[in-house]
Amino acid sequence: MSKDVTPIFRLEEWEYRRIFSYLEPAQLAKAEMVCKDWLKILRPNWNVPALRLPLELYGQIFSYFDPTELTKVESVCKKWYNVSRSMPKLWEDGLFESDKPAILTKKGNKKVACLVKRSGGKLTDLAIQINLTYCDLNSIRKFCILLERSGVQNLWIEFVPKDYEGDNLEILRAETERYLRAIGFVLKSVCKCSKLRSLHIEAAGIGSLLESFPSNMKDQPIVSCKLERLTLIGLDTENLFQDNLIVSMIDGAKVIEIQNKHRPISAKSALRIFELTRDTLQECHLDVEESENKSWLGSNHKLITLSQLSRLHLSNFILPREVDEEEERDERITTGLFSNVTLIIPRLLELYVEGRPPQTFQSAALTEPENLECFTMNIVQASSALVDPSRFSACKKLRRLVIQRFGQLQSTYVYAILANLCDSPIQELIVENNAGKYAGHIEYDADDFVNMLRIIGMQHSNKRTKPIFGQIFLQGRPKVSKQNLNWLIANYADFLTYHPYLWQKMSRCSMKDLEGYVRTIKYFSRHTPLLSRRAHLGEPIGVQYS
Amino acid sequence: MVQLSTSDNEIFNVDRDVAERSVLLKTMLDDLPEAEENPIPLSNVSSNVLKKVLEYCAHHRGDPAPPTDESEESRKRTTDIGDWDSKFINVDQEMLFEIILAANYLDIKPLLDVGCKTVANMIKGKTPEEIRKLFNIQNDFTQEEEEQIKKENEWAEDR
Repeated sequence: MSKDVTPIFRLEEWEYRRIFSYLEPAQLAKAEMVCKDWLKILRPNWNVPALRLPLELYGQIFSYFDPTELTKVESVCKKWYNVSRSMPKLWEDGLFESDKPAILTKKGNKKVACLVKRSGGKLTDLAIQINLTYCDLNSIRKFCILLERSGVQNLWIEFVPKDYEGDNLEILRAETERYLRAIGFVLKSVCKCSKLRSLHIEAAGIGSLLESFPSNMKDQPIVSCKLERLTLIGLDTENLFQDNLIVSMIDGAKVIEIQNKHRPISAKSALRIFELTRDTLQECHLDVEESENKSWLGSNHKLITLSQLSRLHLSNFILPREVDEEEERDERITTGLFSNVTLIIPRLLELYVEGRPPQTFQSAALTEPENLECFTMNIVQASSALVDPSRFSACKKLRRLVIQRFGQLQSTYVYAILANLCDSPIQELIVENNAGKYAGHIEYDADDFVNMLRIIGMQHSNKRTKPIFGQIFLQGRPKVSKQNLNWLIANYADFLTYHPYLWQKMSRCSMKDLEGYVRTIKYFSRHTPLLSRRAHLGEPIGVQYS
Repeated sequence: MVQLSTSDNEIFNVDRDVAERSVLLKTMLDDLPEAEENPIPLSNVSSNVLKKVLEYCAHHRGDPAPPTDESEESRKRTTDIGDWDSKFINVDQEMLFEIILAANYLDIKPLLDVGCKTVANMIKGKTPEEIRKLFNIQNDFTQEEEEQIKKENEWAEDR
């Protein structure tokens, strides 16, 4: 402020502050209006609304960010920096859900170490990828020490083996050994995380490894965690069952997901899971292998009631498995793995069956299927006798039916199912031919299916005016005659907008032209995980239709 | 009916169930029966902000009480906002932060959440420089301090 101005404007900032401190609020409000300099002194952030909040409210805003985002936010200004560093709670969440998980590197575990430090040792959530291309056993050991100290509750780990494209068996074997040891180390540490409630472990590539897993788990770690949610993908979990390791973790769990098509768990282990969690289990996905040796079961018939279970994905494979699973040449129908056990699931809402559903599934899911809302069948004709079409007439609440292997089921069988479903409130009937690896690109004959719909429609035409099934979805590449296509378009509003492929074929326009017209639907398949990184600590997601 | 008077001395007549969306007002009305007769002074809230806040309260008057279980709630860190709410909160920054301050003062948790989520959504995915520009914030770090923070947060770039 220069000397030639009016005396009252010549003072320094601190002097004004002193003067203002004697004024009443009403007078201060007037003082603000005198000039910009006074306004700036009285209200430092008069033109920056974003800096007006009290500190705890920034804490609330910042709580929506994960640590990576927080590092950007805190470097905006000192005020925000001080907020972020004075609230350890903000750093507890290392899930990086909007992002890839942290990657463990040779340099160490800066990311994890920093989060452990800034959260005051209370890191509650952590997602990390352990990729043997970027780290070694030594850095994994260090990570394990951090992990045990972290107090983590929700842990998400992805394992990736080292990239190796050569064909040197020695190297391959050594790498495999190293990979399995790495997983073993981490598993041992995980067992010591006493606060752990939710665990997700996903291991790539184990399915194709010959070694069984993991060799160094023989000396039993002491399990001190009780899990509510467990996801194991790609591990040889049966081995862990034999070691009783998993069993002591999952007593009372709510969500269990054990996926490995190449090494399914045994029926015995599956039953143990159901027995341990009969009163708590809400969602479950198991890949199970049927064994014909049932001596462990004894001769007594068992009854297991899963009182809370609402969502069940069950994939069932029979021993000895075919070399090429996809073809399912095995026509034998065995007595089924749960033949001495009946599962009663009164609250079942969503059911997915793959392979050969156990015979007693009828009693489990389809004798009293009143509550079932969503049913996905991924079965072939050989096992179709296990899902009796007449049971569908009792599905009074069924809203969605997905027939995934349409091409491999006999028309009479599918027809019987549909005819029994006429009185169900089906909103979505989805058909696809998901048989092989490239199923999405292989055409299948959908005329068969449309003809069934037409016959059923005719039989009921005097009873109702609108189509029996809410909306029809022909997934993949259906082959439909022009006549049938016209019938579909005429009977199902929006049919074309859900079928870009048919539309494209009919109108000969490019997919780009169709943008904006085409809608797609999402529905659960084998690869739909039960839990997202975040959902691991929330409530189970339950059945969803869109 | 309840009377509220703002910092600029405007009087608002409000239905009691609308006013009671504010925990502060609800406590006052419950504790002081005579508060119904005299206007309640809200010296921290100006009339244009209160008008907006009351619009929110009126729209949500029938909503069930928000869950009080803090621990579970803090886990759900989605920044999704309902349709009506996101239209409602589509205001200039001045108003946005005043609404947040008012919601905090009046203790209207759902409105506070909407405000905070909106700010979080504005910040998400931006660089520090972009954030400063958006909110008109001065970078008050010295160069050394800035270097220091960069070093501390090196791991965030590391992937």
